[in-house]
Amino acid sequence: MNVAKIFNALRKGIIPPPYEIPKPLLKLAASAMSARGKISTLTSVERTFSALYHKEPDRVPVTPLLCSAARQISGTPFPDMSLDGARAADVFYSGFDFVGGDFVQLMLDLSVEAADFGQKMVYPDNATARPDYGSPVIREVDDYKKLKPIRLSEASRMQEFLKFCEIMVKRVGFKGIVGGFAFGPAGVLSMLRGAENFFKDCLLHPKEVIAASETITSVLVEYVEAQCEIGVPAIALDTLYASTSALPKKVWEEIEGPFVKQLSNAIKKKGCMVGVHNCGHKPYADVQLKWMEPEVLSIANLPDDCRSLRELKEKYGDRTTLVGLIPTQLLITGTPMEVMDECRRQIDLLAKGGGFILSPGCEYPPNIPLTNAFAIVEAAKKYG
Amino acid sequence: MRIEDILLKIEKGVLEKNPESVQSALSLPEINELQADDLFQALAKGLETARRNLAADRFSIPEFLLAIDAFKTGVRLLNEMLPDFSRKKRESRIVIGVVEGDVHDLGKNIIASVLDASGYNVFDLGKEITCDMFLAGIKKHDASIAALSLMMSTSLENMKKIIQRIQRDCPGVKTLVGGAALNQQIAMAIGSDGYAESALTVMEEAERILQQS
Repeated sequence: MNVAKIFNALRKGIIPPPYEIPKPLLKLAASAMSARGKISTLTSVERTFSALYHKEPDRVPVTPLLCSAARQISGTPFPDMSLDGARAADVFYSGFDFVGGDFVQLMLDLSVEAADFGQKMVYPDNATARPDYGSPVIREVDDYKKLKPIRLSEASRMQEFLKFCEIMVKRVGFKGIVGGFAFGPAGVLSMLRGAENFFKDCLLHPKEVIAASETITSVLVEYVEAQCEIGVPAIALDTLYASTSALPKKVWEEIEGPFVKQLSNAIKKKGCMVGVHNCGHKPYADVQLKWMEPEVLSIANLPDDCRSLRELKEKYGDRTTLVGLIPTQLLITGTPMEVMDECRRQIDLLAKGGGFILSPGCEYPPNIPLTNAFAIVEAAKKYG
Repeated sequence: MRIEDILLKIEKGVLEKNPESVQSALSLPEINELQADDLFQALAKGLETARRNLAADRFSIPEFLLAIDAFKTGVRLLNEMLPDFSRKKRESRIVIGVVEGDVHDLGKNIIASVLDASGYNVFDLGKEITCDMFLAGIKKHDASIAALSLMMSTSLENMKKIIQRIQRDCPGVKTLVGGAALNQQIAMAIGSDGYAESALTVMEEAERILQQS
């Protein structure tokens, strides 16, 4: 237990790294929070930690995962938010303040890391930033081995993201939990190569891909460590390609498994929690849990080995905290009542005994009205 | 080599994701004894088996992509060998593209190949296709179906506008949509005639909407 780290964090008004506190104490605290939750309203931090330790809080914790949808509140253009950490913090905080929730996931787009590895980017006015796929860094297989590590200090987008984390951690303080983010090395490589060619390379040229994953991971380790040092108590690793909509299970384990394990270990060594986000079709919960042992599993679809939410809770409910699973399509076309009905159904199936945070399966669609985001938060209060 | 064995080698070459094997089969001297359409059908059969493997989770997406590559290698070679080759096709013509604002074309590329292999005349417009580009493509190719793809929800409004323009300016042309951000309900809400969830259902859905009056 690093008392100095805990004290310094509290002095700054931010949540200390959870695992600087011995686990038995945390479990005891979670039990106490759960008990208190039966007779009074918990704070967002208490509620979320209680659920993370598989104790039922006063109600189910919730996050609308607004991300860049929150820019509608102030009218901030996409590019401004993508390139300026302070502007991003204003946007995300306004979303947290306006819509509510217990947890704020910081995620700008899936190309932050790739941009710093030299990928030419496009910053559309009406959508999140993306690679210019006409100019990929990795044009052919031989280019994988030309990839070199970069200095985090010179990585401008990652530095802006760290600034964004720092501002948010201080601004949110004890009002909620702030989650950091990193795209897994396979994801970063796909941004540098194009997904279609990357998938084929994973089968035809695995050695080259694995070597490049090592290079990417060496930088990502520094990146997630920096987020932890700033005060983010939990970091989501996005391992999108561990799903049937992407790589075969065994291939994913070879290409990305060992590297996300390194990232997970680096985060835990800093005393922070690991989350996994995967909005792919039929994600491989089993191997992602095997390699990363995350405290949180955020998914949009049932895993490949589960046929129902009930089975999901039975199989994985004790091993990790489940986050999700409101479908994106429902948020687009559903009425607030339909959204709340679906939230209620999921709460009934997944919230018992803690270990569940209500959330969309993926980030809230950026260009649709925020009405259904309010519906999600309201559903947690009403039915949670 | 017997003719049946050559056709089987071509079919297997696609199914086993082996463009070299397809190439080697198409280089055999006995090829001249075969009808071009039979050669194409062998390629298509290999891809259809790969598609059914995908449906049954025996193939992954990357494996299916490699099977498509082997199929395309075969088609390219056929066209080179027989410039006048005109395989038996369905009457209907399909233009396909990723809508303006979106550049993710993996799904679109898969669908285009599946429709091509099943006999449709497919004209791939590419990605970030504007309304005017879709309309021009429909007119140029006398298309019966406009297949629109998107992955990101941020381009949904564009897709809706394109569908409305097609319905206004090209009545009789059917629209078919697909992509990660969509489902049946959204497809109906934006006015599309059809929705194809994936390569596994696109052929049946294309046939269904063509039969609509």
